[in-house]
Amino acid sequence: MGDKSFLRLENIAKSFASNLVLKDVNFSIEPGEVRALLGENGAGKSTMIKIIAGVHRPTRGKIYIEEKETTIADPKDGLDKGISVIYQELDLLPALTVVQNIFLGIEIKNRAGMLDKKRMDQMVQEYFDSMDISIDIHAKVGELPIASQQMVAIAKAVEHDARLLIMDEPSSSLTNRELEVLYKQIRQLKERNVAVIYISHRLEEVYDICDTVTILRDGVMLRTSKVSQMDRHEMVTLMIGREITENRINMRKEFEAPVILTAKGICLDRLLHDVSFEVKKGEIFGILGLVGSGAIELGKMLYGVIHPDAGEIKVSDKILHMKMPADALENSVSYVPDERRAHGIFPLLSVEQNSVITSIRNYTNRFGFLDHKKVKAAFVEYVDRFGIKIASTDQPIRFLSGGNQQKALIARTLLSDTDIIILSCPTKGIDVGSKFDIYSILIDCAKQGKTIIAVSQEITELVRICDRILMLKEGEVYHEYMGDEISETLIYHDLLAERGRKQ
Amino acid sequence: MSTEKKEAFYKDKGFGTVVVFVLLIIVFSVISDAFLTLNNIMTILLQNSALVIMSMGMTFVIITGGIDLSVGGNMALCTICSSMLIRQYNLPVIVGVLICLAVGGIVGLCNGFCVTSLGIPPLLATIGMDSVARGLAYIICNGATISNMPESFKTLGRGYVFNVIPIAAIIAAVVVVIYVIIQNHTAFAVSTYAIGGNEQAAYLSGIKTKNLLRKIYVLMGVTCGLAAYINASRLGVGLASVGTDMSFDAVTATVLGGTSIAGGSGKVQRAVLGAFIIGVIFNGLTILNVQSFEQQVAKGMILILSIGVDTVRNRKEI
Repeated sequence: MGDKSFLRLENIAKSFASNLVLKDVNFSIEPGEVRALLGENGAGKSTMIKIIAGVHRPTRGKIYIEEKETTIADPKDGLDKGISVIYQELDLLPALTVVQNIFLGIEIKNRAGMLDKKRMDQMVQEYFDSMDISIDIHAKVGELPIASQQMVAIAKAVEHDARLLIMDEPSSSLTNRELEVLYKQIRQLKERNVAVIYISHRLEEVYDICDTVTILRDGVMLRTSKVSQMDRHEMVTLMIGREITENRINMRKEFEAPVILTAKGICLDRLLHDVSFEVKKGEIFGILGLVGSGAIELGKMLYGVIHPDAGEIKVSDKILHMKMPADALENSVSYVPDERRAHGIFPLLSVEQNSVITSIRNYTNRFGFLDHKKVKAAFVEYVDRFGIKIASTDQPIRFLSGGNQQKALIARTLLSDTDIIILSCPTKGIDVGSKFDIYSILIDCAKQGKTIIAVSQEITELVRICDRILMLKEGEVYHEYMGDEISETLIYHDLLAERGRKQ
Repeated sequence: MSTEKKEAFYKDKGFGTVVVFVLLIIVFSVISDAFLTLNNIMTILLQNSALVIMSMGMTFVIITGGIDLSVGGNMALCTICSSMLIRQYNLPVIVGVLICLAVGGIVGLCNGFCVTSLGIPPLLATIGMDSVARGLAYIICNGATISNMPESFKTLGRGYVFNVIPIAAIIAAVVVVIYVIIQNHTAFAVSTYAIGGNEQAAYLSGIKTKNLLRKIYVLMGVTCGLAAYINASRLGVGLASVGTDMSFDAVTATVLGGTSIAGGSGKVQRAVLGAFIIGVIFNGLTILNVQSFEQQVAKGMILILSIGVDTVRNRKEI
């Protein structure tokens, strides 16, 4: 590779608490280079990006920009140094227009100090024209479809004179035609000598648009090479690593039981199209899908948080018309949300109150007063069973580790004693040890007759615990895996494969 | 572990309030002989009964992360409705009280509807309702003072037990006890804290959040009705101008008691202390012949200070 890198990372390491997520990463990218960054979830990609963008500070190591050692204090500092990131959740301001968003913070002013709107409109229009993008430059960004918003985000980076643009799974919500526009934008960035780091789960895109590829696994930089010098199989093998042993914890090969939940013809706006499946009583059913696949939304729908445009959900042969989660609970469906902090825990309340909140009315005496002893006894049973580490039952839940918080939330669903438990990203952001605790808790629950629906984007996890796995792609059912098909390699290949339904 | 120690320290904010209260009492009793007399203590209890009752409901509202600034107007409407009906039909005390509770509850329900179904921020919804309720009160009584009330009307506000303890203070004490029991021993209260701490999580935990919020605003309205009756009974007449400072005082008392304006935490019994801090200051300043204009300045500063302390505390917890 050349000797004039734009950005170079030298022995970068990062740990959160005692958890080492990046280990001595060496990385460099040249102007005009398009680099694919590949790795499974949890491989350390996002941590690496956040270090480059200035969101995190590295625990160790050096950063060079144009071969000069530097530090990136915060995202603003990163922007000033020419580093732009387009996150999956775009950080545009929905109430502002396209032009206002693009020029936010770098507004052009005329001599009187007023905004030179004409000039800005003209610049954006010219750029859009050159890209064959037909977006109304005065439209409010919030009213545009996601794909258009993404183009606006790229245009913003261009106008901000980005020297390095990082795109975190830019394609996850794009159609094929929109993907072409994205490619075009990337090619133009390349001509302008902008370096691009492109993160995606789709290998075909890597071959389409990237020059080089870097593979991360478990926080280690495994290999960097030209895309043309690495074939698909090699990429997958490097990404998954592990001797591809099928380390299932759930030993059931086949599972037969009556159907407890049926979803038929579920549609939701642009997210889900005609999704149907059945879940058996006592089964661990996985719903697998990347961001944009509609998997998370499907989980929320089964719990009455969002409502399908069409289709029906049946539990124990009864069609559910759920207006809110309380209705789902009445029909014996409970839910553990994926955003633990935002949607799961009550940070100010004790771990005990957090666990009993859903079932609290079961612990009142005939005068309507809480039986505190009964509450405590019920909760303590799960503390012992799950090995939740707490100082006391009164300890505010926010002082617990993610793993212990998650166990408390699972205890919440079990205390409410529903037949069906939905878990959205059951082990998101928790350490390996707790992950395995949670896997065995779930398998235990299934053995006792609970039906578990696990929504996740981690194949490994679903392969470990599920009896069957439903893969969603672009809001459609791609395939349902069972028995011997539940193999990490097979599913991973399918996940990376072309769009469309598996034959 | 150290964060938890800090937590314990900040939890002692109740302790800080006690210190302030005791200091105030010491200062005023040193300055004036008239302050620490049985007579004056009972006066303070009587003067602040309505505020104490009001701050019970307010604490629950603020725990949810909301606020009710309509209690002044609500009081006026309750006062006018009940006093006019009482005078007209010579109604007994209990019926008068029930009218107040009903009117207060209805205004509370309107607040709850605006906040939940219409999604108006509580601050604005209740400011609007304050004006509506007070305006209605003036319309109904045509701006006149409702006087010539029957003697029984004055029992709750002016009566004493054993010629020493004001009946109003006893009622306030009973209300406080009821609220403490609700707070400590019901699922309703746990859900209230949950909503204030994380409304989204509360909804996902199966709490019918809108329903619960409506109940809390109704409960606020009902306590407001009781406070209105006691206040009117003490004055002996029905006035549409009552309670202009009430929402201000009730919020101050609640926040002084350590209930966080951000929601999710707080204790009703501490609001009692908050109410009496306000009461003691004004009683003391009045004894010392400080003008009401200065008192007004002092009042504003107390609110700003107490909210300032709360805000700083919240920032530290993050």
